Amino acid sequence: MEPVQNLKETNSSFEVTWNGYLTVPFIKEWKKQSEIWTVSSQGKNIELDLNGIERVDSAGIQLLIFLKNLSQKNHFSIKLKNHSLPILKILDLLGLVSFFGDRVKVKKEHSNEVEFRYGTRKIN
Amino acid sequence: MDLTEVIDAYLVESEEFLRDMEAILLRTEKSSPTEDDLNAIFRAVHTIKGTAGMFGFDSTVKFTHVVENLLDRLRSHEIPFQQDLTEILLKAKDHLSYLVIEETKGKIPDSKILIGNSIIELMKPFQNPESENSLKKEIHKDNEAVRKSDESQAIVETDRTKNVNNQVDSIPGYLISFRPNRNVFSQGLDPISFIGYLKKLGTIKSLKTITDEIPTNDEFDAESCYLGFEIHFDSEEDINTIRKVFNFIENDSFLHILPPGTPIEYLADLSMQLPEEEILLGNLWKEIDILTNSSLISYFEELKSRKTGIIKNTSQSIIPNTTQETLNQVQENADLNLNLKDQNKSATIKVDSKRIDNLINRVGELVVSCANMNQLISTLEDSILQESSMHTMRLLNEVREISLKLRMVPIGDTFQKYTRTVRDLGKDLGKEINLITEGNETELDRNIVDKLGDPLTHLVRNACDHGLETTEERLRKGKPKLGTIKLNAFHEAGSVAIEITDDGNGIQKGIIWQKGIDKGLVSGPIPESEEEIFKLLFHPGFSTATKVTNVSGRGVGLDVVLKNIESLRGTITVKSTENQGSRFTIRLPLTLAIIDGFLVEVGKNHFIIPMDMVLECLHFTEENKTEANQFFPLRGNLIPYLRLGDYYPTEPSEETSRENIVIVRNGDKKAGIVVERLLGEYQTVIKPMGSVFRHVKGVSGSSILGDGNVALIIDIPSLFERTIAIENEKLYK
Repeated sequence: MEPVQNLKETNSSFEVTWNGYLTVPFIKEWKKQSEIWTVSSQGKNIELDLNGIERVDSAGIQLLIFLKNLSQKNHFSIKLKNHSLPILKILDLLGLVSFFGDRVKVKKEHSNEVEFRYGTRKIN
Repeated sequence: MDLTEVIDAYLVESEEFLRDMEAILLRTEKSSPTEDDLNAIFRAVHTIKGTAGMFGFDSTVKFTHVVENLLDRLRSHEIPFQQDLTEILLKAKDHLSYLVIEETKGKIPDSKILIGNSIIELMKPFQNPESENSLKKEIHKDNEAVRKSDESQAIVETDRTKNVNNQVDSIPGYLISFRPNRNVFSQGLDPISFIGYLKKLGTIKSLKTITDEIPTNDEFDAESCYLGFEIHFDSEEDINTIRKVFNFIENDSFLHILPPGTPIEYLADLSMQLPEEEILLGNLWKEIDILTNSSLISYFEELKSRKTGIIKNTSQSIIPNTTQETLNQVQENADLNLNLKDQNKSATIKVDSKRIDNLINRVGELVVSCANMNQLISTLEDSILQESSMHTMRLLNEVREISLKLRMVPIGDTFQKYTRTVRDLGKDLGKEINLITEGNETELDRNIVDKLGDPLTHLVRNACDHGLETTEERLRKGKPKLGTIKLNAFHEAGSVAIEITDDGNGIQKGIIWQKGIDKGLVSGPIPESEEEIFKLLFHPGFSTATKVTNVSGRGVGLDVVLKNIESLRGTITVKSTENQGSRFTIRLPLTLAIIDGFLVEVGKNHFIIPMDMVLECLHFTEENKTEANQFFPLRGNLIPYLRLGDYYPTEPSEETSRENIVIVRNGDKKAGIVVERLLGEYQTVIKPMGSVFRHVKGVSGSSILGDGNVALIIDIPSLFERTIAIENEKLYK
C-alpha cells in the first residue's frame, strides 16, 4: 500500500502530499500518524497537495474542513493546491470553494464537469 | 429531549382541537357558522399542521394543508359556506383524527392515503373558483380517477398558485434541510452522494454546508459525520419523488423538505427544530436565496411573534434589521392572539396525571396527620393552640378541595362526542334523532371519565338502534317524528349518576322473560319486580334483536357494559315503560383519594362508611330485632338491615354497649347497618386495596387512623349486592 501521506518539512512550512482515497480508512490512518498537533503548536504553515486524490467522500471533505477550522483557530495557514477532479467536484457541489479560499485551477478537459455556480463568492 | 412526551402533548392537543372542530361543524348543520366558528376551525387545523410539520409527519401536513386552504377561503369569504361543506369537513376531521394518531406510530398505509385523496378530491371544487362550475362533474368523478390523482401534486399546485399570489411570503424553490446522523459513515452511507443524485431531478440553485459541529480538537473522529446541508433546489418533480432520493438515509437523519410556495412562517417552525440558531439560519437561507431581503424580515417577524407568543419577555434585540414600528405591530398581533385565546379558554397547563395523583396522596396524608394532631391538641387545655390548629385544619381542607378538583373534568366533553355518534347513527338507521345533554358541568374523576367512554357509547348506540322506533312507527303510534335521546349527569349522594334515556319502544318485559326461559336462565312466571327481568339483559350473549344491523345485534351485549361499570365499582340500573321509553342509570362512586367518612366501631375493629351515603343514625334496640326477617321499622317503613359484625367477624370489645343502626342510602334504596359504636365524622385517605384483594366485595379500601389503627372503608353498593346474593342462596336452599 502506498503511503497515504508524504511529508516534507522546510523552515517555515510543511509540504504534505496526499494520495489515494480520501475516505474513512485514510482518515483513521492519518489521525494515527498525523503531525498536525505539533504543526499547529509550532505555528508552521501547511501546503496540501491534493493531486493524487482519486476519490473523496463526506468523511474526506469533512477532514479538509476540520483542518481549515483548526488552522484558523490555532493561527497557522493551510493551503490546498493541485486539486484533483474528485476534490473539485465535491467543492463545487457543496459550494465550499470560497470557504477554503484557495486558488483553483481547472484543466480544460475537466471544464464541463464543474460549474461553480454558487459558493464562490466570499461572504463575511 | 424525550420526544415521546412532546408527541403525547401533540396528540392530546390535536384531540382537543379536533373535538372542538367537530362540535362546531355539527352546529353548522343547524345554523350557518359564525366568523368565530370559522376562525376556530381554521386555527385548529392550522395548529395541527404546524405541530405535525415539526415532527415531520408529512401525511398529516399534506392533508391539513389542503383543508387549511379551504378553510382559509371560507374565513376570508372567498367562497360562501354551504351545507355540503359540513359533510366534507366532518369527513376531513375524521381522516385527520386517524392521521394524527396513526402517523405517530409509523407510516400511513396507501389505502388510507387514498381515502385522504378522495376527501381532497371532494374539496377541490371549493379550492379553486374556476373549477366551481365543474362541481358536479368533479364530485361524480369515478373512483379510478381518484386513485390516480396524486395528492402531493395537488399540494404543489396549490402551493404554486399561492406563491404567485403572494410572492413575498413564500419560498421560491424546494428547501431541503439535511442533517445526516452522526453514525451514517459506519453504515457505509455517504451523504454527499445522495445530494449529488439530486442533480438528476433538477438544479441545485445553491447549497450551504454547515460545518459548525465539526470539533476543532483531537475529538475529531474519522467515523462521525458532523456535516449539515441547507439546499435550495429547483425541480418540477413532486416532493415525494425528491424525498425518495434520501430513502436509504432518511430514517437515520434529520431531513426536512419544504416545497416551493411554503409560507415563510413554516421556516420559523423549521428553524426551531434545527440545531443552529434561528438568526443564523435566516441569514443562511438568505445566502442560498430561499429568502429575499423582505422575506427575511417576515421570517424574523414570524420568529418574534412566536417568541412573544411563548415568552412575552424575550428581549427585542434578537431581531435585527426591523423597525420598531413593525416590532410593535407584531407585538400587538401577538397580544391580540393571546387575548383571543383567553376569551375562548382560560389558560391551562398540562400536567402529568401521575404528579397530580402524587400530590393528592400527599395532601391526603397531611389531612390524616393533621387530624391526628388536632385530636392530641384537643386534649390539652390550650385554647390558643387549639384555635391555631383549627385554622390550619380549615386551610388544609381548602387545599384538599382544590387538589381534588385538579383531577376532575366536566363530563360535557365526553357527552359532546355522542352528538356525532347519534347524528351518524340516525343517518345509517334512517331515524330522526335529537340528542339532549344535561348536567354537562358535572365533574368526574378523569380516570373514570376515560373508562366510561366505551360503556356509554354502547348504551347510546343501543338507544338509537333498539330503543327508538323508526320514523314511520313513531308516527303510527302518534309520537313526534323526532326521537329523543337524553344524556344526563348529576351528583347524587356521594356518587355520580349518568342517565341515558330514550323515548322509544321501551323494553318488552314479556319477551325478555320468555327469552330468559328459552335460554334456560330462569324459569317460572314473570316476577313482580322489573329488576329481575332487566337483569337478564346483562347476561352474556343475551340479545333480543331479531335482526343484525350495522349498529348492534352482534351479540356483544350489555354484559360488557356491566363488566366495565363494575370495574369502576359502579352499578347500572334499568327502568322502562313499554312504548314510553327506557332509562339506563349508571352510578359511579367518587373513587377519589380522600373521602369524608363516618367512623364506626364493631368489636375492636373500625370501619368507615362514606359520609355522603349516611342518612341518619338511630339506636338499635332489642325490640327492633327480628331474627326471621331483618327489617327495621323507620317511621312507618320497613328498612332492611345487616349487622356489620356478621360480615366482618371481629374480636368482641371488652365493654358491651348498646348497638346503633346507621341508615344509608344507595341511589334510591335505603338500608341499615348495625354497628356497636358511632365515632363520628372522619376525613380519610383511601388506600386502595392491593391486587390480591381486588375481587373482595364490600370493601373499597383501607385507611390508617390517627392512632395507627387500620379502618376498612365499606363499599355500600357491593356490600348490599353481596348480602342479597347470600340471602338468595339461603332462600333457594
